Amino acid sequence: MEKGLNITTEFTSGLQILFNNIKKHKVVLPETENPWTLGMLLFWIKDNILVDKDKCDLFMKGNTVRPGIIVAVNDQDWELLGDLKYCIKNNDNITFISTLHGG
Amino acid sequence: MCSVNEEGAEVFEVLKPIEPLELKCRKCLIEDGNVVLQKKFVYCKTCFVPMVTHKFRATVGKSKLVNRGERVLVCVSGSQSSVSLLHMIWTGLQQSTYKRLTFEPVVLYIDESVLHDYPLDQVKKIKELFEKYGLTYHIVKFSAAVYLDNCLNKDTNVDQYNDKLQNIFNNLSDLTLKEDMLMKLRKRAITKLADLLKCTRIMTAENEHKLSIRLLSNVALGRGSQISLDIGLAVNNKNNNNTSLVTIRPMRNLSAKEISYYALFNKLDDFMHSNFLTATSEDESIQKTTERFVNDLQVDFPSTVSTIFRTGEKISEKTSAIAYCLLCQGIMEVNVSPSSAMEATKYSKYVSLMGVKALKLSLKELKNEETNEKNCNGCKCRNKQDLKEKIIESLCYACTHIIQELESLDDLPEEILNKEKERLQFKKMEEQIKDFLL
Ligand SMILES: [Zn+2]
Ligand SMILES: [Zn+2]
Repeated sequence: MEKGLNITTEFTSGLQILFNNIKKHKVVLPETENPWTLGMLLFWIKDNILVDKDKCDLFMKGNTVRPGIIVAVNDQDWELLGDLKYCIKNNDNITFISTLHGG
Repeated sequence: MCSVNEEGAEVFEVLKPIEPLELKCRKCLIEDGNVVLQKKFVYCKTCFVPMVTHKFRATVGKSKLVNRGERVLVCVSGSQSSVSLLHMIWTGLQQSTYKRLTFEPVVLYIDESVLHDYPLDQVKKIKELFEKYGLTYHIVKFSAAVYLDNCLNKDTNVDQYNDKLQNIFNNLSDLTLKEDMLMKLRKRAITKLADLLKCTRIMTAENEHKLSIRLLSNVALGRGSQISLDIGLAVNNKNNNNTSLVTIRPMRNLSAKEISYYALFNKLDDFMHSNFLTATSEDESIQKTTERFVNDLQVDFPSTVSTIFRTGEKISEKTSAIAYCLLCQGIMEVNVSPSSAMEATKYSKYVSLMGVKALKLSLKELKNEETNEKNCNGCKCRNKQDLKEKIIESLCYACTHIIQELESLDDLPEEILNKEKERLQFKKMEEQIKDFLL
């Protein structure tokens, strides 16, 4: 029987401001019909851990991350993994790094 | 690419070939890639870190910028770039003899918590980090560094200076000016501390990305003539009395992405490092608008940043400059030609103020007209207004905008005011003896 996915999301280099100043968030993604993709995760983060919803545009733009934010899964560039289409696996460590100045 | 409008960008996009990315590292050809640079160069972790370190070392080693045993002030703000710089320097100091860095780093953290909300334990954590590296370090409060000569003395009460500093920024309502002023005061503080700590070199951690944005913002702010000062690899601080103080930017050939992955692979923790633009909307300041412009372009054109940067490098300062701004220590335009943009701005302001009358008067007469109008006889505001007008003469174009917004000059660092008074006295004296000179 399959349960939800246990993953860690990390927000660094200023992005943590949007997440209560906490960098590491261990989260459980609920079970869904379709496999979880990074694209889905972004919206889930927005709905579930982003503190100030008004500041959403500092994290996302359209259906992807704001330009200037780098995404890595287990230390690997998401550009190598099909970015939004990457299927999240149990225990994945997903890092969001801001290259914007002053966060 | 400079003239890309919306349609143009779309056409470009269609033409972009969709090549599948090579998954193996381009260097060792064995390992799977971890990072993609510029959308095409794939590196594995093992090859990536030395590649980045090498770029850093190449920049530091260039034309013998730092002498053996020289004291170098390493400015760490807590940002990812700055903790990476610290890590690279520390690594360089551990290396075997022929590769070892031979200068003497003095690490500096300026605590800006008076202006921004930082976690309460931030200074403690920074301290722990510095202790771990075992390098000489100093943690100085921002207000102390701006206002006091003995700012290394930790026992001084800085409350009144905190108020002064906050006053300045509360007076500036415009985010663009706030951020500009913060940059200038930071620079003053760092220069002063370098002097106090007997350092002859300053290292700051700006990367290519940040410098490109600064380059474009500088142009927009009217700081075009100061570009090489603000983004150059090694900049001699000529305004300083001992002419040997040089600011070095050893990370300037690294991209923001390279630094982010360097920090990630080395598990470097970064700290909150805010400025006035942190988490602000992109439309509120010139600097953020510029940043968005660059970042949005960068998504589809991965060489945007390096293109801007290389172009900026070709701009060099005019050697004819002899005056330096009292506030930012940047080059000032003196004796500008009547056709310059600055004079044009002045003239258009004048025309809109005076209407048709403007056509009859020349620009020279404008000056007299202005002074006549401003002499409101006998009221108290006069002295202050006077000093403000005088001080503006010693400021560069961009800095006048900052000072004009300030209600009072009392909160400025005393050394600025003193220097101005000195200048005025000198001018007065010159005036008095003018008739006796042949
Ligand atoms: Zn490799
Ligand atoms: Zn200036």
